[in-house]
Parts: sequence; C-alpha cells; structure tokens
Amino acid sequence: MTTTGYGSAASLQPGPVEPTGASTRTRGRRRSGGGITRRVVLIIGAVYFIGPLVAAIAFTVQDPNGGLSLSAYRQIFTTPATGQIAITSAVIYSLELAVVTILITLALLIPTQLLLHLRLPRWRGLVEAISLLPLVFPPVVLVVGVSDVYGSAQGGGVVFSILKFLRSDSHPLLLALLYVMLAMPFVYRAIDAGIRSIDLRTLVEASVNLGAGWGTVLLRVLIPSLRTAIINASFLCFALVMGEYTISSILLYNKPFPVWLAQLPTTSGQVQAAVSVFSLLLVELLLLLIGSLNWRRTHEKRD
Amino acid sequence: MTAAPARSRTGTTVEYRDVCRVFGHTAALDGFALRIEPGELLALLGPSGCGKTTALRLLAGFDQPTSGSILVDDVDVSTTPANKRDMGMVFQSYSLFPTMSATDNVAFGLRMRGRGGKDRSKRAAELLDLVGLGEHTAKYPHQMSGGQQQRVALARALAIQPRVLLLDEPLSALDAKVREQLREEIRRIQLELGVTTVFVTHDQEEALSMADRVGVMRAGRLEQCAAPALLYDRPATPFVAEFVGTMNRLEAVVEADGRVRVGTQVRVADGELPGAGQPVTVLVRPEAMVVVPDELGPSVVVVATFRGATTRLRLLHSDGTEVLADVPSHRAGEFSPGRRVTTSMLDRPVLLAAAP
Repeated sequence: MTTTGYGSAASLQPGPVEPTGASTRTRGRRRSGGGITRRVVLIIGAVYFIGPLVAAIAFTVQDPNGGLSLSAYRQIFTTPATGQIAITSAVIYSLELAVVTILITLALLIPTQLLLHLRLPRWRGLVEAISLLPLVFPPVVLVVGVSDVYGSAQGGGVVFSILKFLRSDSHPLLLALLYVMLAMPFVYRAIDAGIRSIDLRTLVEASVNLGAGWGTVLLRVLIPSLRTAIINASFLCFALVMGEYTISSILLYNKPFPVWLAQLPTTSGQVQAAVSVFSLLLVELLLLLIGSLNWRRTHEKRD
Repeated sequence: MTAAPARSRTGTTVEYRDVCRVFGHTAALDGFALRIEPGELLALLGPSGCGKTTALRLLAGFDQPTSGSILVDDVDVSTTPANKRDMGMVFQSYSLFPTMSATDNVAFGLRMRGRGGKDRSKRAAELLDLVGLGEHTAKYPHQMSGGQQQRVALARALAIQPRVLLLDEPLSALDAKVREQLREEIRRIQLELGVTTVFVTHDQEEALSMADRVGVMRAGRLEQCAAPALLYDRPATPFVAEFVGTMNRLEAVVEADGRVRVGTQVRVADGELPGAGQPVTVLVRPEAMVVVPDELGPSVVVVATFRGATTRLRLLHSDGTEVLADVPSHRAGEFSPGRRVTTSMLDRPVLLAAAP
C-alpha cells in the first residue's frame, strides 16, 4: 500500500528566519565601516570630476590685473567673427537637432523593442547585436561612407532631391539620422531596461482586454509606464548631440554648437576655457531641467 | 466556505467545442469540450501544463484555437479580437497600470467605451466601494498591498459589465489570510452580479470552496466536470480521485459480482474489473479509514499531524506499506506515535486505480 496526495509539500518548507540580535549588531558594525568606505570613494570621485571644473572656472574668472572678472564670459556673447553665427543661434540649432534626433530615435526604437519583447523574442539577440554596431565602427568610418553615398548623387531626379533635402544646412536631417545611429546602443539599452522592469505582456493584455486598441495601449499605458526609461534615453541622446563634433565637422556643418566652439576665432585661453565651462554648464542645466520633470512627477505621485 | 448555487442566472453561456491548441509539437488543448451555464462560476483545476490557462486565454481572445470553436451566447467568437469580446479579466500577476490611480484604473475600460468623465468616476467609485476600497480611490498601485491591488483589478474587470469574468489564478500571489478573504468576496460579488465566471486555479481548496462546478483537466482534456461535492465523493476517473484530495492506494483482489477484497473486507468497486482472482489497486480516502487502538494490531502510528478538527495519522503496516487515516482531533490522544492499531475501511464503494 502506498499513499498519494497533493498539497502537503508546502508545509515542509521552512518559514522565514528572524535575524538574531548578534547578527543585527554585526550588520550594524559592517554598515558603519561600509559608510566610511563609501564616503571616501564618493569624495575621491567628486574631487576627480569636480576638481578640473572648479580649476577651469577659477581660471576663467581671473583678472590679469588682479581680482575677479567675467570679461571672458562677456566676450562669448559679443558680436561673432565674420562667417560665424551668434552663440545663441548655435545653441538653438543644436537643441533643435537634439529634439529631432530624440524624436526619431524613440519613434524607431520604442515600437521595435516592444515588438521584439511581445512577438519576436527570438530576434532580440540579433537586434541587440545590431544596435551595438555604432560602437564597433568609429564615427569617422560612418561619415566617410555617408559622404561617399550622398556625395555621389549628382544632377536631378527624385533621389537627388531627397538627398539634397536631407543634407540641407537649414534642416540637417542627415545629421539627425546619423546621430540616431550613434545613439542607438545607449537608447536601446535604456529602453530595454525599462521594458524589463515592467510586466509588459500583462499590461498589454490587461489593456486590450478592457477594449483598448494598439494606439491606446502604446500612448496611454506603455509610454507612461516607460517614462523613466524614455527620459533616461533622451538624456543620453541629448548629451550625445550637444557634444558631437566629428561627424558634423567632417560633413562641413558649422552651425552645431560643438563645431561653433571649435571655430571660435580667439587665441585667448581664458575665453576658450570660458566657452567650455559655459557649454558644460548649459548642457548640465538642460539635463537637470528634464530630470526634474520626472523627479517632480514621481515625487508628487508618492505624496 | 461552501459554494452556494448562483442566485442570479442572468449571465452568458460559454461553450468550448472540441477545441485544440497546438504549440509546436505539444498539444496544450486536445479536444477540449465544455459548456458553462449563465451565471455559473466554473473553476478549471489541474496540474501545471494541463492546459487550463490556455483554455482561459483562448476565451479571452489572447490566443486562437488551432481547431474547434468557442461560442459565447451561441455565437462563435474564436476569431473575434480580444478588445471586442467584452470580457473582464483578473490576472495572476499584478496588472494595474502603474501610472494610474485606483479610480483611473477602474475607469480605463469605461473610457475605452466612450463613457463621459462624470459617469466614469461615479461608476469607478461604486465598484471600488463594492470591493471594499472606497477609501483608497486616489492611491496608486505602488501605494497598495497585493490584496488591494487584486481588488482594484477585480473592480476594473467588473466596471465594463463583462459578459464573462475571467480569473487567472488571481489569488496565488497573496498570503493565506488575504487569499481566504478575497475568495469569499469574489464569490459574494459574483453571486450578487450573476456574471458567468471562469476561474483558473491549481489550488484545489480554492476551486472546491468557490465554484458551482469544478472542471479537472489533464493533458489538455477535461477529465471530469462536476459539483465540488460530487467530484470529491464520486470521482469519475482515478486521476481525478488522486488529484482532488488525498488517497490511499490499497492492494486488493477481485471477487465476483463487481466486488473486491481488501485484506479481510469486501467492498463494491467503481470501475471496470478484470476477472475474479486478479490483483487490483483500489483508492480509499484517509477519512474513509477506521482506526482502532489495539495492542496486538498489525499497524503502528508513525506520525500524528494535527489539522484542526481532524488529526492525520501516518500508519506503517507490518508488511511495510503506509496508510493515511484521519481521526477526530479529540481522539488524537489515543493515537500517539508508537501505538499499535488495527485499520479497516468504511462501508463505501471503492474506486479502482488506473492500471500501471
């Protein structure tokens, strides 16, 4: 005779074990030790990153006649040299480029990655590998290939018109498309992490079950749920565009802010340092502004 | 909780007609056939991989049958998209939209149906009241416990006045006490609204306590679908008998006239018997075993486990086999481990085990 049955295994599982006083004390000691290590590491990191910035700022505000002066910063905003646009125009040009790049990148990658997670999980490895290609090929290689292709289009016809439109200096979509490629490895990973952090399939099925179509699922449920990932991806995209020099310079675009900086006709070390500090602080400020939107919304919700 | 019959029968009929669903070389459903009556709460019960969730997903419209059809109110909906089926579903994992408050979650389905803002808010408030969360309307999912989230999910599923309510193991992630409370609430609300409900679970206690009928599934097919008491007392197949509750397997010999001899006792047997004199295995529930203290008895108590009203004894027979037997807990003192006993069976028909 033997017995059969279900449901008894659960009772054999050990229950949760409460921490003992001794182990709590040990943890307390470890925590204080760990705290000191963390602080030391934090201070070293802060000095490493902030030190050069502070030194640069100190250099830019030094007056050769003694004391402090903002004359280096004032010179940035004075009338530009012949052939150069004003700094504000360069910043706005780069900002517009960044916005277009972010929009194209997100519009391409969000639906693609959702599709990969929901319908084509087997293809995820391949697409992930493809997304890494811009890290494998240096931007110079990319831009040489692009200039070759776009430069070869001559005369009239539809193809020429399209290429001419894409290359236009006033709305450089070509540049934005190249930046989309450069941003892909970072944006792909940021969005992938966001998708993995939510129960994507259940959220989609719950929305569809309640009567939502795909557009509604995407706009009302998934994009809000992926907001943090999307903002992180936008950060990366934005920082990349605001700092990219190689491609725009080789393709002879001189309006983007980094190219404008490089072409600044000055031999003054102070002015050049002031421009660097200014650009760094400007990008940091804009990133903080975007980040604060997310932080505020999260904070309000938790209240 | 004992399931009472549904008071209101205003719901929808659901019928699976010979439904098959094949994934690669595996048949998740293999000729599945079942009819669910209006207002009925039907539980699909079975081990992992038996096809119960596949059956539910096909009904929800998240998947389509390889062959066969699914009828709702006698209309074939096999190819109707999920967002056009009007079915409310509560999922196993927490499925609330994380960026929406409880009210917005509940009102989501109503918004999809074009209902006005005030109407939506009023209906959402009513349903949150119904599930006991009237004070938590503004909370976001991360501010609620698992039990509260599943209540909101239930309110959200009910808000659209679904033709069929689908519950996919909605209590499995909750702790025992909350699970028991929610069980009762789901059943109360289901009876109140009279909505036809399909409840998938692997927890037999949950299925037996809540459902009007329980369908036990195995390898993509329905083994038996019956009222909980009938399923427990008169299982149609050895699989059902052994899956629902606990069974002893006892060696027996076939006698004449559809009877079997177990030890010295002769009992009527359910099932197709081989010829007289052939050995068979019969199934007997622990509560159908009678245990009497006897210093010269052939069995010894190995373990006595307190289970509330009854105590379960694990007995070791002199021939080396084990038997489980339930005795009233007030008599448990007579059966401490090491005591010798004699065992027998109540005078009930026994079920034949499946041939090995």
